[in-house]
Order: sequence, then structure tokens, then C-alpha cells
Amino acid sequence: MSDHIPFEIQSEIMKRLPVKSIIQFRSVSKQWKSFIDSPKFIKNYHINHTNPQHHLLVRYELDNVQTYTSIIDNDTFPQQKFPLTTPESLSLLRNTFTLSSVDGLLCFYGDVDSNTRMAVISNPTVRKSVGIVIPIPKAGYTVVGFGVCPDTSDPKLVKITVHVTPSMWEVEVFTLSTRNWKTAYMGALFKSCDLTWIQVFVDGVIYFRAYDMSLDQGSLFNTVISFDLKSEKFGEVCLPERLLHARYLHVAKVNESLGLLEYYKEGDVTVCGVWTRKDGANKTFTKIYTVKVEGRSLYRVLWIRNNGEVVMELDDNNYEESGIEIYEPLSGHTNSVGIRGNRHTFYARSTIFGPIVLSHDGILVSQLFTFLLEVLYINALSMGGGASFPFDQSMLCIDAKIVTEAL
Amino acid sequence: MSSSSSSKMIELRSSDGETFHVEETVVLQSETIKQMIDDDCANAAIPLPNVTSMTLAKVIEYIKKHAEKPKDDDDKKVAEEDLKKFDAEFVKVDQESMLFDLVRAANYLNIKSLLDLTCQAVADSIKDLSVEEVRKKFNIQNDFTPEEEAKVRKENAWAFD
Repeated sequence: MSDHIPFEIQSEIMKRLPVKSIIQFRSVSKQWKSFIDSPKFIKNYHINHTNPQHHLLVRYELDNVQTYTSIIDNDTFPQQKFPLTTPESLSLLRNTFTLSSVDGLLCFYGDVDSNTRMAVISNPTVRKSVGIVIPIPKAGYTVVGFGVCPDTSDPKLVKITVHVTPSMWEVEVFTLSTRNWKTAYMGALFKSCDLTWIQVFVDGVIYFRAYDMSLDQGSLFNTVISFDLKSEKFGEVCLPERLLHARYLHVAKVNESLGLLEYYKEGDVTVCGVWTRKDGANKTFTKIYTVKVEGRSLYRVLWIRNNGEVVMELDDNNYEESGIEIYEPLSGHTNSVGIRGNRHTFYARSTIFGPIVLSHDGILVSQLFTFLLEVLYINALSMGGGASFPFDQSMLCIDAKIVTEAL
Repeated sequence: MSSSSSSKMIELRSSDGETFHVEETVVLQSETIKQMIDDDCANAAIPLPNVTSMTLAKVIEYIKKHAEKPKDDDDKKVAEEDLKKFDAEFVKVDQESMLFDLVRAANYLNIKSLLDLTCQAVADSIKDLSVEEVRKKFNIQNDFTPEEEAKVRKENAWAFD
């Protein structure tokens, strides 16, 4: 090549290369590498080159080891499963669980030490993750929620700290693009209630299941507190009379709307009523069906697929191990998913993956999976959490090896 | 001017001084020229100092083909197929430097479909090259230290097979 090709044109060419070449050409020059590694490139590349694939991510323990299995959520469900490699930073956390999954991002949460927690926002498709240190107060308690701002597509964490004396809420919002925490609210309680970690993100709003403390009549009332990521304002969801007193109530995403799961006994067995909120002016809840398996108790509804099928764990007593099953609401039939683990350790979230290829031996591997092995580590200094966290670059290569072997 | 169309003709002058007459409706595919016409800078010949006559002739061949309007729906399908064939043949150039010249011209003249077509052709031609060959092709200096390069390559390990 004789003449000079400006970088502007080089970048236009890069955008049109297949993934394999893109990964290899990261070593052409520093300029190429930083262009390919940039979030903007990844995002646009993703849009241009991929048909997003919906997966159900199932977490469970087997012999006390946390395992993540991803199941492709299409007509073949639950036939196509593959193991998910989680960010290395998760191995440094204890009591890890998944807060939420939004638009192909997963947010994990766990303990660093007794005073510090960490949220890990992870994009499993490009294997990029960001750890955010979250100091917790010595008195009172903290609840953290995760979502993506509908206007800016910016992932956000909301941290609600409930102080006891004086009784007040301190609300901070972390925005991923700026890597900054900002105080959104500090003052009187939005509502006298106990917030729980049970949450769901629907349409720009995080819904926390909570207990109403204002009606002190000896029994707790259920309530759902919402936090709108755009306006950064709280709200309260109006529950139907029947659900105010339900003993076990969960929030869930049902048909892309806010849903409620009410667990109750029918005879000797536990069943679950599935409620969903109608859009429109009065936004009332209606019960759409009951998950009821003849002669067997339900332990938990893990996920409701968009076709209405329920992924659930049944409570078979006297077994250390259990499996998850699919329930068809019209027929009431159940089918095994084919995953077994320790009882009551199952947890499921949906996620979206980029280009997935089926390798010759049937193991599903995302080509983009190893696209970026970079794990960013953000120490939220602005929160005064000065603790540094052990982070070893060499770990990334271990991850890469695992995927290479899978190939 | 041999065209019988009533459309206004625009005069373009290549870097080596050759002039080309193209219908305004055809030339508007170039955002850059459209801007010049909108700004009323197109009373005389439009100088294109970055485009040689050889390249400009190819570009005009492309935009003329892409300006053809099908008469009806049946004709539309045929025309689409025909256009696909034309595009495929268009980027089959003898000299690679011609392809690069076309990319540069498409970029300068801001003709999106031509930029898409030519960039994709370059991408297809370099996708299987080694990193060294890519550097050579684009005249890129390797600014990694050997250690840095080894590290990036290690991260990429599986992509090398």
C-alpha cells in the first residue's frame, strides 16, 4: 500500500471485520487496540453483527460449589445448555447472588469483608465486568438495586441506606458511564417500611418488595416500593386487597410487566398465584393463573418465560438434591429441565447474548465471549471506601484458557 | 453534454484537471457535493482535489447505476438483483490501490452506500491476513513494546488457533 489510509477509514474497515479478525487485530497497534476495546465500538459492533439470543441463566450449588448454567430461551428450551464462566472477581466475593439482569447485563452482589460489599456489573457476551465497592453502614441497613436508565442506556445502581437514629433514608445513585456516586435523596423516610432485596427491573423502574410498618396492628402489610431511574423518585405500588396480607409475596417480571407471585397453601401443598399489572390509567393487578402441581409442593417460581411457561423448583422433602422443572400453565404438565443441584439453591435470571456459535461437539461458545478479557476495577473512592481490592491480571488468562478448552 | 434529460448538469473537476458532467439528481448521492450545491458553491465546476480522474470515473459509474429508478414492482425486483451483481463486480478491481482509492473517495465525497461497499470489500480482503501483513497494508507502525505485544497476543490466544 503506497498511500496513507487515514485512521477514520481504517476504523470504518474494522467495523466490518468478523469477530475472529477483530480479536486478532487488537495487536496491530495501540490505536487499533484502544479503538476495538472502546465501549462505543463494542456496542455498535454488537448491534451490527449479532442477532441477540435470549438465555435463561440458572445459578445453583452442587456440593457447595456455585455453578452457572445458561439455557437458550427459544423453541428448543431447555435443550441447549452451556456452562457460563463468571467474572473472576466473583470468586473473591462471598455470599454472592444476582441482583438483577437487564438488557444483557447481569449484576452480581456479594461480600468483600464484614464492612464492604461489592456489586459486579457484568456483560457476559463481551466478558467485561466492573466491580463497584460498596461500604455498608455499621448501624441500620442497606439495600442495593440495579437497572438501566431508559433514556441514556446507562447502567445504574441505587443504594438505599436506612438509618435508625435518626430515622432517615440516604439514597445514592451510581452511574456506570461517569463511575460516580451521587446523592439522590437524604431525609425523612419515603415510607415507613422495611425494604427487602427482592427486586425486579421493569421499564426503567426498580421495584422492591417491602413490608409496610406504618400500620402497626400486629401483622405486617405487604407493599412494593418503586424507584424510577430516570426521575430518581420513589413511588408506592398499589396492591390488591388480597395481596396486602399474603404471607409470601415476591415481585417478578411477567409478560414484560410488573408481576407478583403469591405463595400459599392449598390443602397440604404450596401453590403460587401469578399476578400481573395491566398498563393504563388504574394499573390494577389481575391473577392470570395458579401454578399448581398435583400432589407436590412448590418451593419457588424461578422464572416465567414469555410464553407463560414457569421454571420452578418443587419442594421434594427428604432429598438433599433437587432439580428444576418446567410447568405448562394450561395443561398443568411438568417437564424436567435436566439440571440438578442442592435443594433451595436455585436462582434464575434471563440474559441476552451476542453471536453464539455451536461448536462441533455441541458446546455453545460465544465468539465474542473472549473478545475482551479486560476486567475493570473501580474503587468507589467518592464513597470514602478507600479499601483497595486484590486484583490480579493473570487471572484473566485462566478464564481465557477455560474457554479455549471448551472450543 | 450528451444527456437528453432535462435535469440540471453539474460539472466536477478531478485532481488531474479532467472535467465530468453529471446530472444533479445523480450527484446528490454525495453528501459533500450536496452540501456544496446547497451552499451555492456549484455555479462553476466543483473542484475535487482529492480524487483522480480514474477514481472519479469509477465513482460516477457507481452513482449513475444507483440512481436508476425501476418503473414498477416487477421491474424493482429485477433491478435489485441487477444492482447486487453490479456491486459485486464493481469492487472486483485489478489493483488493490484502486479499491483503496475508492474507499478514500467514498469517504471524502461522503457516499454512504459506496463507503459500505468498498470498506466491506477491504475488510473481506484483509480478514485472513496476519497482524504484520495488516500493518504493512495500512502503513501502521507497531508501537507496542515486545512485552506489551506478547500480553495482547496472549489475551487473544484462542483467536490464533
